[in-house]
Amino acid sequence: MKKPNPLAIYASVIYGFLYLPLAVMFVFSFDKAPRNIVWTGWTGEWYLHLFHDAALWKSFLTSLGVAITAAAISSLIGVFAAYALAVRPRFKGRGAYSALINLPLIMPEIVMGVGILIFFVKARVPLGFWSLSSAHAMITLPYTVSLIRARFLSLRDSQMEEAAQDLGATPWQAFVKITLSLAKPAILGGALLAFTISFEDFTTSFFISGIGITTLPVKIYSMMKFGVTPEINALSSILLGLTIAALIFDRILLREKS
Amino acid sequence: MIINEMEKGNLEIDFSRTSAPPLLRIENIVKRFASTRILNQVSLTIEKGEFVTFLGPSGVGKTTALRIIAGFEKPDSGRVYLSGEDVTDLPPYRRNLHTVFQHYALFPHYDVFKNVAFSLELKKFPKDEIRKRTLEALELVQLLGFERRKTGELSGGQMQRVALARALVGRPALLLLDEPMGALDFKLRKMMQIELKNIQKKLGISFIYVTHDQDEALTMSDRIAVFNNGRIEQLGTPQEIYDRPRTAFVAEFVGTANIFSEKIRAAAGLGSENALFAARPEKILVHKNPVCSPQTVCIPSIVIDTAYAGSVRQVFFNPENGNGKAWVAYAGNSDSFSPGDKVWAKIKVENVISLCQKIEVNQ
Repeated sequence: MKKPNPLAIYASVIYGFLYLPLAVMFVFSFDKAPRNIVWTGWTGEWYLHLFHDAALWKSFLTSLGVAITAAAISSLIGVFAAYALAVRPRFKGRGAYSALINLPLIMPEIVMGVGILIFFVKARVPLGFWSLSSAHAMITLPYTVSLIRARFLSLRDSQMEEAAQDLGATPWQAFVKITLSLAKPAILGGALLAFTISFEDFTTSFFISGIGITTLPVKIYSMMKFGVTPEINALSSILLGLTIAALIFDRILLREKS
Repeated sequence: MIINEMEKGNLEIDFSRTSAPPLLRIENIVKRFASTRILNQVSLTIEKGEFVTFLGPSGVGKTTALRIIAGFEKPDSGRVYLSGEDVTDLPPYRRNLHTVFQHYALFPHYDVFKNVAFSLELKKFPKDEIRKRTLEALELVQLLGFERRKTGELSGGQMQRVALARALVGRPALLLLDEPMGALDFKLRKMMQIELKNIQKKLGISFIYVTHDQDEALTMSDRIAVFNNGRIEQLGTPQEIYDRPRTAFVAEFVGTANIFSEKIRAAAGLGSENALFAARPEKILVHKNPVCSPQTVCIPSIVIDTAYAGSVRQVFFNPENGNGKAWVAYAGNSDSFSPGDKVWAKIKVENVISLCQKIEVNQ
């Protein structure tokens, strides 16, 4: 018999640790028992339950709306921030601006969440769809900016914008027709990343979501208070499927252009 | 204005006003980056249909001069006039000139046709006009049939042609070329040089061509501006630049020059003290027993080495009283010299080039 490669065993353990829980969750979403302790047989009824749960649908649509809005705001601001940080001639304090944009990456999210909550309350901004969307736009900004910025940097030295201006394009036309067009995959990729981060965000949403606005992760958390049900497993499995789909879509998008 | 003056009874007409202004005039351009003067009082006039080359080693300001003409940089002082109009403060997209960039800067998300048609589409020309003129431009650079190719599928030479067609399609009065052949191999370069010159003649467009390649400058240009230290050190036809270089820098940068040391000058009885002289290698005859007449300068020398260079044999030798730098002369390729040979370097007086010690600002 062939001797097993110790590195392969090591890798299997790591991957097992990462993905076995997901597999267990997926399998138990088909368990007949209403409490996931023992296996009692296959069923798809939990998925049907989800489908008929109006409150769940509502929170799903809320999450979807917030994630789309946050992704749109984040990538729009991201384009201009990335352009300022990558392409425009160096301005005073560019390093500091860059660091400030990236700060939310390393800041504990709970600090961000509490900070944003206090700010909104003191500023008398009603907690709801827009406050939540803008908070999400903020926490996803570092991701969109760094993705788009990397693309802008790779285009910067090609003199393409200069060539466009030389051929009669205004600086704005040159930016839109050349740099922005060429950065489109990176911008879409950034928006997609912002979407997924917003969609699965719990901490910030937990603080900001006010009365009558509950995102899916917050809803799942409240469902968990009564124990892990196969319904939650089913819901999580669906979310997992959506995430994988988004990931594949993103890969295809980026590969197409490179 | 002239008619007005005539009506007023002022019949004295200034005829210089009636002739068309030059295509391009730059006046006393100064440009600094940080505290370094990149350009120092550069002035130049270019007429319609002229092929002018900016020649010089890298970092002497020729590309900066080109960028100021194109509008990508603003001079610290000095003016730029295009056909008499002051364009110093106009952005690049408002100037009637186009540029061929060193690395082409083609648009990778467009095919060849869209790249070339770019300026026409911006100007909102009718569709069939765009099509007609784009195909004409592609025909001019011999790329008909490549319209649907992506720029990534083209060779270096083809990309160069697309860049040229893209810049020519808008029929600018002036085309700027920034070391456009830098990335091409030697043979392709030679071919493109001839083609470029033909296109320029055919269209009657003025070209400003930036290069550090003296051969390219000599073969293609109507006039050459030799740049050094942020100034035009000499401006003239290729023949003037080669046969009558004004300074040691020009003499040594364009072709090869053997500079006379002070002792050689004194021994040859040329000029006054500290005057600078030089001779081209092909104007020096290396002889073992020359006949020296009063119309020649004869310098006793010792051969260091020879090198076979195909059509000629290069002879390297130390002139007596030289400053230690070896001279070079071209002998017939069948002549034989060995290191250590005592020879005479013979130059006709009329072939001795007189150089300025220093050039004055504002020539």
